[in-house]
Amino acid sequence: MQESVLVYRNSRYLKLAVAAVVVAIVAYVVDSPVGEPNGGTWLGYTLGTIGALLILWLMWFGIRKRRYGPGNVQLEDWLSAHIYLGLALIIVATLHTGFQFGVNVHTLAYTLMMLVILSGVFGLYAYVRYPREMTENRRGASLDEMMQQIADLDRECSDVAMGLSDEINGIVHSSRENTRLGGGLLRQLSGRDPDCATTAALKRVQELATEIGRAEDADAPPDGRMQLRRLIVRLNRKVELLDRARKDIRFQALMRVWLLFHIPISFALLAALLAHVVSVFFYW
Amino acid sequence: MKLLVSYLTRKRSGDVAHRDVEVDDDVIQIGRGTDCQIYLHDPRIAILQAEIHERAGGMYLQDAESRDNLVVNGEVTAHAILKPGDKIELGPFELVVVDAPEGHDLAITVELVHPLGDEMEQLRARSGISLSDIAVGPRSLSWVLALVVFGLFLAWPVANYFTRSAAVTTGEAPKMVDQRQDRVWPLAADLAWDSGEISAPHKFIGDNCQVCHQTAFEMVTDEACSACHAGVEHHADAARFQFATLAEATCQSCHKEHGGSAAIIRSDQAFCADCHTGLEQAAPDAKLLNVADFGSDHPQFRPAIVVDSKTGKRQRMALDEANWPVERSNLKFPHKAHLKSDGLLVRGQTERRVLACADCHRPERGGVGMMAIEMERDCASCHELRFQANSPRVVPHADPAGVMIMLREFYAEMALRGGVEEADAAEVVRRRPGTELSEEDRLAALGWAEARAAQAAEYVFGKPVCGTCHTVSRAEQDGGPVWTVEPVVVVDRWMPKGQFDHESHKAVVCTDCHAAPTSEVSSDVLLPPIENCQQCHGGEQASARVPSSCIMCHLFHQPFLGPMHTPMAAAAADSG
Repeated sequence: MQESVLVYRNSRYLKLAVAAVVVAIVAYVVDSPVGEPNGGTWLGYTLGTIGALLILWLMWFGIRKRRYGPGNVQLEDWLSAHIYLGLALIIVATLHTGFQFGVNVHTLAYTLMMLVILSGVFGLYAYVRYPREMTENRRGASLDEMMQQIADLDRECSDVAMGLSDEINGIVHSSRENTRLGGGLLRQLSGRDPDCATTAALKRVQELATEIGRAEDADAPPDGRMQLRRLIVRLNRKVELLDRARKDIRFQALMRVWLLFHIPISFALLAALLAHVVSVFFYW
Repeated sequence: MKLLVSYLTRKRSGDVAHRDVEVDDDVIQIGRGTDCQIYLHDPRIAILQAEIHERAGGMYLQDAESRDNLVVNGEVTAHAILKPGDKIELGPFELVVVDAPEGHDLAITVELVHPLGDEMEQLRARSGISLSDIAVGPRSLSWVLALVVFGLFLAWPVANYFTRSAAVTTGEAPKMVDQRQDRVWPLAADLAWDSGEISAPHKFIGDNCQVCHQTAFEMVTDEACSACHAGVEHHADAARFQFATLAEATCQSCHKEHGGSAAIIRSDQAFCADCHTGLEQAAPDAKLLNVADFGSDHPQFRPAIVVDSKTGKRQRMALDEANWPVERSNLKFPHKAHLKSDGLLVRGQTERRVLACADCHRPERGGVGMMAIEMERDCASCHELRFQANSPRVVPHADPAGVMIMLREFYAEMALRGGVEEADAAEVVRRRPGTELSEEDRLAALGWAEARAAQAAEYVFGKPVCGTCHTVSRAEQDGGPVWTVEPVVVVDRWMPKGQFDHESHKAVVCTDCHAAPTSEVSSDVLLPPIENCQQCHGGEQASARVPSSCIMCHLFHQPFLGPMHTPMAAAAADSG
């Protein structure tokens, strides 16, 4: 579906964006202003106005996308136009600067704009690539279902461990109480949990099983070894499920983390843009 | 002992269900193990948690590991004597000792007061499975960032402007050096608004934006510039030429700050060529020729040549090969004779002296032009104005009246002293010094002196002395001949509209541009035509020549044209 956004309506918005960019480049090449090209020449003012209006229109998408009633223009149109005109803004804004950069609020606005666009490019990439991988990873089960299965396994492991030693019981209990999915932002994005209590539990139980096997303990009932094996099987299944669930969480996080940049930085951009425009005419 | 265990289950309705179990054993084991008499089915309980022994003192409860893991009636302990009413907390279980019914030694109720809870719920509670679970979301971040940027880069500079502008604009015009930043804030709040590098000469006020940007939302006024750059001159005679572009121009029209040192002065030739390639349309009576590019479209140099030495009238004449201008300066000076390669022999010297350009032509301080030739400094070492054979005495230069006076004084002194050794001199002056003179003698001596002075004057003002270089005219008058030396009118600025700097051409040999060694008369105009300069200098886009745009040699603001008309001045004039 996301691919279709890129070619929506026969790539109409791509063509529009390319046309706008070509016009801007030609105008820039042809123009010969007083002094060097910069934001304050006539072409600079024109490109700057176009850029500012573009930015406001691009941000309006955030409002439009939450209006769920029927509209004159489809949301797909809005999104396709948002992507291509957002990309065209790179050229328009850069030509507006006349390639003059410095340590000031003007270049700050430009930098924030580029960060917004770059984060948007990443978002587009995420939306094109990750849904398929996510579906493959899920294998038909939703995250909730996976969590339910994990919870069931927890119960089963508990039951099995009841009849085993205190140490194993403690390990299994700890793996039940301390295993978590995801966590903070970075942990969600990594798709792993290096401190996973279940993995530690499985490792320890396997060690104990090996020790017991090696000890050839006549006291240890064969029943106990069977229980241990059943426990290990369940713990393995739990680890597998945890991996899949964490991967799912990772995909979801990737598909949303870019918004954590895209939206706040665009508001910072709005403030910087306001400062940029006001300052240019304040000290005209 | 005989023990009655009641497992209690509290229902949601409030009712309590119980399951009773009878136990008969010496030691009552409490734990998770299936062989425990009090069986606590929960992973939080150890296989063997505690035991109850019957002792002499009573029922003795003891922790399986003899550690303080028991909580009896709220107190932590390792063992306790049980009596009815005791509450024992064992993990999530609460055991209460109740009155033992008939036939039993001990009765205990067991209740699970902290059930394990729903695994799924707990798992979800522990986990952070979506970005909504993390502390910071897009909305709060957006507010924070936007407010920080707004505060730092808009609110603060604007506030700074209003607190400082009072200090800058009231009071007398500050001295230039006082316009440096007078920091009230820790650092200038509006420095973030700086839109580009300030040109080098303005850097000392560059931190103080309000020196130029005096009023908010108003373009920089000409007054801001003329506070220091007062009386910048016009480009064209405002009375004769009324160009709209010049009349409406402000300083800012051409001079852009915040573009570094390169942008503050326009140097692109297109700026000039815009008007100077079609001057006849804008100003039909202008005498200037059109020009577009030094290398390919620049008229021949037209230096100002003196055409009438009496009035000193100058005329601009092109250095045209076919029609080379001639200067009428009233000076006779052949460069060729002076620059002889084997040198000159001067009276009184034994060695021949080879002259070079620098022997007479000295650069001005700064090296732009050449100092005017001064006879006393540059010529007199060879051309002594002597008039008497064995006397080193010279007459003053450029002072014909003074010459006469000196000659008379010279010979009068000789006559007065006596002892003149010339054989054909009058007797009276040849007398022995110290001889008394009668009145008649004195007059005779004076007559001799006068005669000799007149003779010397003829000599001096004639070809041998003054006439060597000057045009001298002799007029007979009652008191005797009067000589007039025609004034020498030599141009000091050949090309007044162009700025040629000798200093920057120090590496060039004089004779590469000035054809002096072959010049035999001083009416030769020894300037190079433009082709000579074009050997090295090209237009603005030249790559194989020195790129030279108009302002390399010409000024926009012409000196002596009066202050440039500005809209402000005009408005003031209109209203005043």
